[in-house]
Amino acid sequence: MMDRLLEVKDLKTYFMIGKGTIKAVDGVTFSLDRNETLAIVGESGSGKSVSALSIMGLIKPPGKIVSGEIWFNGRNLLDMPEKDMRKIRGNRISMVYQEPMTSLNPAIPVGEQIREAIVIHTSASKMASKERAIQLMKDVNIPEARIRYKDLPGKFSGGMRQRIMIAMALACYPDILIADEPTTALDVTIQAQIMKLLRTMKKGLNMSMILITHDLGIVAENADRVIVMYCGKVMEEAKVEDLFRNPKHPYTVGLMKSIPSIDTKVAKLYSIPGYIPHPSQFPRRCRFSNRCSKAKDICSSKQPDLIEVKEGHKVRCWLYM
Amino acid sequence: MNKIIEVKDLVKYFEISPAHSINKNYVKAVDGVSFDIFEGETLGLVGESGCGKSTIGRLILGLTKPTSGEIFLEGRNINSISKKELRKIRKDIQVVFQNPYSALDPKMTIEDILSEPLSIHKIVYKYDYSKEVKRLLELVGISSKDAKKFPHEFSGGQRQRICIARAIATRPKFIICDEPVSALDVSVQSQILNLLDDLQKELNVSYLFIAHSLNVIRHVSNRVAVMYLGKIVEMGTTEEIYNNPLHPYTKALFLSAPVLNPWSNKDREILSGEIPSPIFPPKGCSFHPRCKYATGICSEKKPFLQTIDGSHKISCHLYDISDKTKEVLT
Repeated sequence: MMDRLLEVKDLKTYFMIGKGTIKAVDGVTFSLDRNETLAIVGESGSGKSVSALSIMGLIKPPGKIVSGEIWFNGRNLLDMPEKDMRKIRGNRISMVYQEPMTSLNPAIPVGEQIREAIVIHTSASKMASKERAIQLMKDVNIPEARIRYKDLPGKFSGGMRQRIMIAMALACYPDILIADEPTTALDVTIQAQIMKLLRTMKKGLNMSMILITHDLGIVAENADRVIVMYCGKVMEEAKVEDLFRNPKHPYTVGLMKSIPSIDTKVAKLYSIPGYIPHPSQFPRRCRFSNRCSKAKDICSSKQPDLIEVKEGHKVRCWLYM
Repeated sequence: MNKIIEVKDLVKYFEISPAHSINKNYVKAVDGVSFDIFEGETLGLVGESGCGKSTIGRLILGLTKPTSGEIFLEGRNINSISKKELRKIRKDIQVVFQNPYSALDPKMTIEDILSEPLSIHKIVYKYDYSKEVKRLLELVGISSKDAKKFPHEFSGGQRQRICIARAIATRPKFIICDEPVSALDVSVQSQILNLLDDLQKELNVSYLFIAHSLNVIRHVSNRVAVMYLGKIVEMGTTEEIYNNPLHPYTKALFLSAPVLNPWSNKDREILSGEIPSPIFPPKGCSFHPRCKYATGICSEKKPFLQTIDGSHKISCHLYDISDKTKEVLT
């Protein structure tokens, strides 16, 4: 048994909009071990980003964490006063967002923005924190870090800004780094550089990582374990090798089949029929039942549970009951 | 096969210097690009952001005027014909954009959106509009009952289907697909790719398919052109490019794409550096600062696109047979 670092239990995050309730995250349970990379994959509306924001304690009204527990270092983050949560957020658990273009303050030099994270969470002096910030910029491979410390974000390219974001997130050597689509806005060659940087930093700092993405290629190359989400629920959970060797849930199988291959050309692509339902119109029972090619009668009448079919491999599907 | 589109030495510079300044700076968005597209064929245009792939689309559509170079539609130069003539041939060239959320007027019903091109280009009689709209909707897999709905009532994938219906409404010979699936989820992406493929077979239309994702380009294209900083660096049939990429940039691009395989070598070599500024592109070959094979000549002389084998063309000094022989001779 590995060292368990984070445990999310039956998390429900709902958004109360108008008359309706949007169940963005609806009973999600997962855990993260030390030094592990857990990938959360899913399409838009699957609740992957809302799960991450819930861990960070960044859900704002009309959103609300309705129930569940998030255990970190023996404490439930959801019971914690905001004052304590601030000591964890950006310090022990930090996050890198998708949009490097909008996540930085355009009017503050990048070095100062990195330094801010250090000053807030440590008692380092001005000089020491500046040196730390410069060292961090060097660590994430920003050339001429000392000179560029004073530059505004506008002078950096998208890839470089994402490096700054990573430096900022790593400023306090966090235990957990949550990377929410860290390379989606970047070009392929830059994406490869950033993912490599994340892998090296994770190893160097003995971190755990939650990697949120929609790209199964990134999952295959970076994750140890994967959870597949669809419409606010975990559909499948497995070690990355198991998931790619033997995907079980019809949604996972369909997703993998519908990606065009770079090596071979097929006459016709497989495609999952229908569309992702709007969050206010999720099917009442199995949420994939209206698009599933293997749906049976029971699928549209009863919600399946997440069942362990093999060690470490869990599926939420009536086919495996 | 009929040549539908012919692009010859197309150049587009955008001036970015402040007004009245003496030293003028230009973004060299497209810098001497030539290609042909034949009837019923798909040419895939792949490259990273800022390489000029979308500008080429806009130039062919006539949304911006080229700095120099020529574009022919079935042999007619679209830059030198009168406005009236241009209006007429516009119906032969249509476009599908990346973002189906901003490409449809939120205040118009689907029927209005699809009737507009029909009336502008007088495709069918007015009393046949609703019949034609129904036919178009069914062609792209949307229920004709939804014709009176507004765009916001549809999901992203459905909206992209409507955009496609609008593009085929004028019965074009040629459609520019500018990143048509990159804003869509994976499970919807394959539906749209299949739809575009079916329509091509049914309507015998040619596509210029602009995308940055290599697997999508492989799936849709008959031929592929790889662009870097405003220039085509390699071009050939899909098999030639994917089975035997020759240009160091193409090779690096393929190596950067994540593989759907957890057992693959994760620490393979990746391309270092970033795309240089298109305002001051590097001297000589614009890829040489990032190229591990770069030699002296690469930073001095611009390579040009030359045929290597069959239809496989490449712009790289490594394959400069003539220059090598010259060196040997001198």
